[in-house]
Amino acid sequence: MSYLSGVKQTQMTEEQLIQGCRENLATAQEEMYAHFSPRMLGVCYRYGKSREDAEDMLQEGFIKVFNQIHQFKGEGSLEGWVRRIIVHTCINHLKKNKKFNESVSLVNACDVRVRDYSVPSMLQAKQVVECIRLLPLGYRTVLNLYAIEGFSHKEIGSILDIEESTSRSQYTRAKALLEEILIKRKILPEKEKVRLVSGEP
Amino acid sequence: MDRFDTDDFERTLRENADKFELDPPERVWKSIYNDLHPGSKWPSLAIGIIMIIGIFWIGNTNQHSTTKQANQIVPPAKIQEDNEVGKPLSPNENKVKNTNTGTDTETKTINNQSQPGREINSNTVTFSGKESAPVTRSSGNEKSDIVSGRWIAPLAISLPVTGSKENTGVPGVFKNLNSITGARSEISISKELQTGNTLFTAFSIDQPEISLNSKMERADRIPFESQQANLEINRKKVKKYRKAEWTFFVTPVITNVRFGGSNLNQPSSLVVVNPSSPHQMDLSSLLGFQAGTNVGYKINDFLSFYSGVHVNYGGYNIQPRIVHPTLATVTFKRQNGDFFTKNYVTYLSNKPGEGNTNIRNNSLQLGIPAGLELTLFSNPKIKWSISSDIEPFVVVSSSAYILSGDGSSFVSDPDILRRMNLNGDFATTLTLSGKDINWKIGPAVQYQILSTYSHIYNVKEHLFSYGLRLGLSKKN
Repeated sequence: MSYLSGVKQTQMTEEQLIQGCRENLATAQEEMYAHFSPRMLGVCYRYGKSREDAEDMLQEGFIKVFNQIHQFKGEGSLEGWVRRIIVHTCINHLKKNKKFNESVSLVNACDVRVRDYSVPSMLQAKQVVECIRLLPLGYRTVLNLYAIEGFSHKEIGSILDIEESTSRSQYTRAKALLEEILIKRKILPEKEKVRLVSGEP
Repeated sequence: MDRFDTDDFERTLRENADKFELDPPERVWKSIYNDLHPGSKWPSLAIGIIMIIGIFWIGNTNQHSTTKQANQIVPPAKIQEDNEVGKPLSPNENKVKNTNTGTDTETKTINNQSQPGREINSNTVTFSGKESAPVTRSSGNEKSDIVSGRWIAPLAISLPVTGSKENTGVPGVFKNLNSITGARSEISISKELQTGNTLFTAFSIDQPEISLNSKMERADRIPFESQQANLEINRKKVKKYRKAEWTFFVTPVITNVRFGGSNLNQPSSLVVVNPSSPHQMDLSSLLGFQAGTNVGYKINDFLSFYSGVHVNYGGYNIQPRIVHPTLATVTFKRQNGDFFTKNYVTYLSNKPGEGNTNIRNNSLQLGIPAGLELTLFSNPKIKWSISSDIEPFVVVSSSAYILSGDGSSFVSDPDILRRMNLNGDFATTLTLSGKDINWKIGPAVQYQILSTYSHIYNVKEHLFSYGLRLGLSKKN
């Protein structure tokens, strides 16, 4: 993030940052972006089809963050608020794609084969995210929303315009498939399989 | 997010996912910054508009230099020398020279086998300040009159050529026209146009050679910094590409014409703007089209800048009458105020004749617009906007018939047409949001800001088109 001038020089408090963003000050916006953008790009990367897609989501999401910053009342953390906007932006971005709408509402998605190409073995976080990205788009989105973002199936149904039961079944299949991938990549031990599959969402 | 019944699997996933970070590229922040602070876009937009205007101005300047160079081909001193009474011009000489004012009457030889015969008037004209309301003199005399200080001779010559139409096919015309060659002005047929059953023969000036050296020198002088700046602008365009909205459209249009200025040989001003004139033109609108693509860049939520490529076709129809071959003259005015005339032979008359025919003044244009679109109303389903732009264009192909000086005949001369011009567009658009595509519909009007003809022709013609624009753009 070396291109962000002034970020290192000015260490604003969160209140100053929010106030600066409300006043549309470029320095405050730049600092907030520098602080949150790496993690938020990680979020976008889990939803996007590609890195470029994720960058588009990040860009769109941060524009919304800065335009709606006056709506932030200080209830809850700033990061949580930013993250929620970013996630909703990602979902809206995906919903523009017809194939996504079809894949996410497909109840009987089955016969998904795990592709046998190697996931770069770096840090475990990276490996897990890359494994999540191997899932079909519909599965991945429901899994991201349920397991990582913490939305309920009812909320997911509302966000994605699908039935709650569809969300449940998508998640069950996503979880099974991800578990298979994680075991195949030796991130999860073989014995974990039984416990994960038997666990109800 | 009110669910906390996460199991180990979900907790593991969440912990790992939360640790995952990626460094965004610089491009993302710059795009966000530009979106949040749109004022910073104006310098690049201003540069773009200035560049377009600059290109247009350079093109227009080059067109003027052609005329200037034409003036330089025969120096005034030589004109006087060649125009001594009784001295015949060489068979290949194209100009009949006149003295005192540097005014020259440009005619052509009918063929190179010049025969002595009737002499065509090649009167010298001089003006004492005022050009308006010239006194027209009969063109029946056979000699040139040279008097300085005031207008003394007509510029308009319209000589009926003898011979009936029945026995004057193409060879017959040549035969008849050959008989009007003279020692003072030898005329050559430079162009023959067949219009239906009518043979139209026009005379035109030979285009002098245009030196390209001056243009090349100017190009060489473009400083390195400017080229770098252009490259920088191009790079920025590439970066912004993904935010652009492409619109494809087609607009069936009806084109009308508006005239201004005055015909130099017509004391009662321009005949075509005077409905009571006996030489009134019969005009009708032409169905044309505008088509092309626009690419729009959002400046803010309400305002967008757009440019693109447009193809326009339009014009109007004229219904002239067919008559026996007639010699017609049109007077032109140079930038320095000098006048010169050109002679044409034509079958197309603006007076009652043997029969009617149809000719068309039209042009195919390729333009690059630069304009702004303002959103007046918007919701997810529908958007209403107005847009306006300036569109420099080049004329790809065209045909144009103009009235002779006395308003009695139609002649065609492509040399007097502008090669580059400027349109002003205004449209209001209703955008309907579809599943994958946005549909656009709305009325559009276009006005040609500069005259169809170059400055040497005193009559100003402006085309005015209106139609219904239909377009589509991909949903972002």
